Amino acid sequence: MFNSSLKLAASVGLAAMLIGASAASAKTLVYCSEGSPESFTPAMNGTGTSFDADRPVFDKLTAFERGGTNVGPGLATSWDVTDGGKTLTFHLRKGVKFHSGVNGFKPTRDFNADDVLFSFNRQWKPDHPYFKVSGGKYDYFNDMDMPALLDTIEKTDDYTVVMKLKEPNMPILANLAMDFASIHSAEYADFLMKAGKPEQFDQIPVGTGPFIFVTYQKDAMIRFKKNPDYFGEKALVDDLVFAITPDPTARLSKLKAGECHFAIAPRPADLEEIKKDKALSLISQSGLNVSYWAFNTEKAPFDKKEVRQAFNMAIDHDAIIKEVFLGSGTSAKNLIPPTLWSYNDKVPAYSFDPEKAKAMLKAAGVTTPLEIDLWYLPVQRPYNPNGKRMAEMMQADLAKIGVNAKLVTYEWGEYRKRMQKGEHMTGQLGWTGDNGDPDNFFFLRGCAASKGGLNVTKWCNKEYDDRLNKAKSLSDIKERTKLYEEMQVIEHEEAPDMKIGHSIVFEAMRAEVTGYKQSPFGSHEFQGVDVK
Amino acid sequence: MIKFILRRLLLTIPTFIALMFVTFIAIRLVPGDPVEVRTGEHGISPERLAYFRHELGLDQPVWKQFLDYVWQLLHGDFGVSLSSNEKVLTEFLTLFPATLELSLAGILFAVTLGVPAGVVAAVKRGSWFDHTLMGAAVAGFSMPIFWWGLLLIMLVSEGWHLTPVAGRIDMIKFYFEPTTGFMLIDSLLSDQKGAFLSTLHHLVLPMIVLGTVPLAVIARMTRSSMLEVLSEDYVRTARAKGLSEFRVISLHALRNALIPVVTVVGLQVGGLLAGAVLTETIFSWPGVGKWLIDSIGRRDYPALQGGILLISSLVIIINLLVDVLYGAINPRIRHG
Amino acid sequence: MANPNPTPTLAPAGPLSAFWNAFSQNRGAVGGLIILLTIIVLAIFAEWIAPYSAVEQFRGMTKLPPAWAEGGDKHFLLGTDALGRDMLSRLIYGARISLFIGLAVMSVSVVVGITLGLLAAFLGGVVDSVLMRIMDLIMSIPSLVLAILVVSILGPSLTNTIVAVSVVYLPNYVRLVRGSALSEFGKDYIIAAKVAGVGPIRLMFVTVLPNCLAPLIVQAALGVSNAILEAAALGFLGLGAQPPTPEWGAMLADAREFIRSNPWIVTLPGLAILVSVVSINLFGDGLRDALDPKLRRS
Repeated sequence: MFNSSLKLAASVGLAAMLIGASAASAKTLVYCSEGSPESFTPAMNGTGTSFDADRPVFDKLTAFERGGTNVGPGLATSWDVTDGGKTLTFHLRKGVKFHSGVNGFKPTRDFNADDVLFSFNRQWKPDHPYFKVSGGKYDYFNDMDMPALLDTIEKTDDYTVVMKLKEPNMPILANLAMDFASIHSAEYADFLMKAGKPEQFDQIPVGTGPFIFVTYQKDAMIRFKKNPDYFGEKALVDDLVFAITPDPTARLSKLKAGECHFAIAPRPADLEEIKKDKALSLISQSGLNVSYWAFNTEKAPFDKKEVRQAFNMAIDHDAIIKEVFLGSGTSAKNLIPPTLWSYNDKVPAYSFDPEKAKAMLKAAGVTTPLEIDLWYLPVQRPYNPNGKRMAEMMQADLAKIGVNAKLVTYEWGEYRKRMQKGEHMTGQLGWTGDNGDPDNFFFLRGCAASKGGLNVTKWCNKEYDDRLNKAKSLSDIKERTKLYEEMQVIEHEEAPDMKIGHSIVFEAMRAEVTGYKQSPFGSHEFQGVDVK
Repeated sequence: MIKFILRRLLLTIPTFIALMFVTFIAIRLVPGDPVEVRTGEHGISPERLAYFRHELGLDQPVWKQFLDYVWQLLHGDFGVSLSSNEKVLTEFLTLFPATLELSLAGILFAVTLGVPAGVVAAVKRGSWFDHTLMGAAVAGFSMPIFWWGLLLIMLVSEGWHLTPVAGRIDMIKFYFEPTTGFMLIDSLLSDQKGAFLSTLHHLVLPMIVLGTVPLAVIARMTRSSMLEVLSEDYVRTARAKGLSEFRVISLHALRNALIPVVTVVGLQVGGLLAGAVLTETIFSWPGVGKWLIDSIGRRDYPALQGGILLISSLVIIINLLVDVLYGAINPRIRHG
Repeated sequence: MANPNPTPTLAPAGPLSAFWNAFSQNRGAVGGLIILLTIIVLAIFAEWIAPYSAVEQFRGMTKLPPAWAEGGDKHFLLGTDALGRDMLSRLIYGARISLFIGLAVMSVSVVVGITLGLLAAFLGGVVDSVLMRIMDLIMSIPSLVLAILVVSILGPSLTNTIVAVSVVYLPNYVRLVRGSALSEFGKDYIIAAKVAGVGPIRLMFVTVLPNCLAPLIVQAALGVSNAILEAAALGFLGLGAQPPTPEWGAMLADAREFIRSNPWIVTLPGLAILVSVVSINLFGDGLRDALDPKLRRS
């Protein structure tokens, strides 16, 4: 028994050496990803994990520059804005080929306007033959208010598409660079419809992107190969493999063992170890998000400004950043992250002062011990790595000023819904920016969102709200900035919530990986990335 | 014999129908909604929520949903997963070989080590080997395997770099299309040098983790069953006939001692699937255990329903097989 | 029941001392009992024994290694967790929770199991069939999946963990009681009791039940350890006791991210689970051997 197991171990070792010696000549980049994609049609997906898995295959009309937020040409080489910003005319790129040979499909024509119309109409028109295929959930198209914005999309010739809007809206150019606006092949859709298996459209993707889909095994791996005919920045490796590894410890171990080159979302606790390892490299960037602790201003005693301020002073902020974010976050004092324009750095942060907090509570007529509930996030979110641990710390701090916080949580959908209804007294939540506009954050404290909406503080302040609405209608960035800065001052004083932090997103990879650029949106792209 | 099997099969039918009904209701009692659970901070508008609930048939009364489901099942249709839009059966069949491979490896590990160890311990009753083994066996079946897995990863993989930490094969070096879904077989079929060994290498640690509890149970069972048999008359007779001790044990005693062990192995199957849930979670193993847990999180009703039905049928069938097998080696209980 | 005047008697050993004689010969069982008693003492007197409260956070002192390791602090013998809470204290208070879960699950399943098992055995017919099919059904779903489903429906909490684990283990008890009750039925003393006009309830609980007790006690002892394991697994998957309860499985799950950087935070709760489960199992083995040598095989 022992003998044979020794032999086995020896032969495994020997084989490992042999394998090492005969390393394949084709270059493979292995990305240890977090989970299986929802589908291979970005428009139907909602998570970063899914978008990452779809993105290698597809292009959009416009594109974010790799590693940035600037919008540049994609499948549209240029566009004209006319009619006071209500008409957008896109000039499409010529000679772009869809991937050939995937799922038995061979394109007979180049990319053209029909593909653009197909990609948007599918999400937009309920009578479109593909609208209901695979469940028809187009969350982003709706979240970004596209049905309200779009009037018509028409083609004038094979390489010109005209988009008419109901009102002028420049951020739509950024929306069109988002993943939900990926361009699919209309010809492939017809091909599958004729074959009677339209559902494969969302499982076996055909696009124009830098990588061609090869195979997918649920919960195990996704495999792509290089698209040699790609019009943009080309893939530098021959094969791209997503090794689906949900456990972060396992991801790091695989990274260290060289079983993958790149691992998503390293655990904050492991950052030190990664930094020390010469075979690995670690890059970071601040995320476009904020986490906060909302006070329900409609419930006593949180209807009093002084009480809310006192609670802001009762929590040891630095300790939370240190022990919950473990270095992967920065303390927040405003609703928007510091990387966003109009961030008001003059706003002071509340200092940690339990004695003063106690005194303020007393002055406000609050008798201790005060019983409150503290809702904590049931799931990990980009802006809050561990709602539970955070809540435990807050609970301990609150106990010191005579407040007994009862920890409460619900299933995620339920949690959000109940908070929007205002059932909580206090609760954790946060926000991740969609398109890089401050309004995309500030509306969270507006009056419109306070009635059963996303403003879970239920705070409605005229001073703040007037400025919010005015800023939305202005096109001058300077004027908008001024209004947003004033709003941040008002919000600090009124304290409808306690700002907690903004996350820092880390990426870990092997030292031999070159050319990777971190995206501010937290997405992962592998064209232009090489393994030395 | 056939009558016995048929009777047992008939008995499982009501269980099965009840199982279908109870899981159907239970799954819908889990708070949360498959449509809402997938939305982010944006949430979803009530109109769109209502639309999707209607599309998925969730606005129908539960009894009607159930009848529709049974009707579907009778046509061999397990429905479509809400999270991936794949057919539930397809999804299950893709993932199941991974679980089966792991479970079979675990059982094989447990039997090949547990039976000989138990026999030796019984023959050398009271020796240090016996004491050590029985001590280890108590620890083995008391093991919280989620912790055991983490501990082994820390020691064997991280500390001594002996085994990989996760997955079924090294994806940088090897690639082949799955034909059977059993990585060991596929890697052999692939003709890629080293692929089989890489698969084996990845399998070792999860196998040990999953096999630990059954190993302990089987070793204990074999030992006590062997002890009993060794004191029986026919063994004494065999010894008196002057047969060598080895022949006595291997030919006469072991065969009879193994009867209860077979039952125990069979009974381990249910526990093995529960263990697989934890093992798959720890080792990022793409099997059905993890898939079921994830489906609860996603409120993926059809996947959950289909998955539980399929797995439970499997448990029922295996229990039936064990009974049949037991009846075959021990005719006395057949009509009992 | 200590005798205040221990005088030597010539009376034959009572069942208890016979049991103790058999039990004390099993060194493993005695060892298990000693560890188990220690854990019970720790659990009961946690307030006095634990150096700190289980929830007090020492903010500057997070993730300290055990006192003997490099960087350890002599005030925190087993180090501190991610929030600076004393590990030793949390483990001691955790013993209380784990034992409570184990005992609660055991009591619930024993009581319900006896009732249903006896009902099935006595009433027979439809009741028996229906009950046994329900038990088959519970047993056909993998235990952990069933427990997770139950907790998902009821919501994660200590109480619901107990409910879920009890449901999972119920069939063992029902089948055991039913089986041994049925095997007692044919015996003369039952027939005699029936002839003597003993009522059904009395027959069930007073005449039959005591004769099925031995296997039940063994099953119950092992049931405690199974329940502790199962509850810890639920805690590990984040579905058990909620914060800041120092449940061992949940402690392990919370600390899982530190497995590489601070491994002892993960190691210690697991070790606590293992030690307590081993001690109960050793004790259970001894109990089985001493109570009923016939049961050695099960």
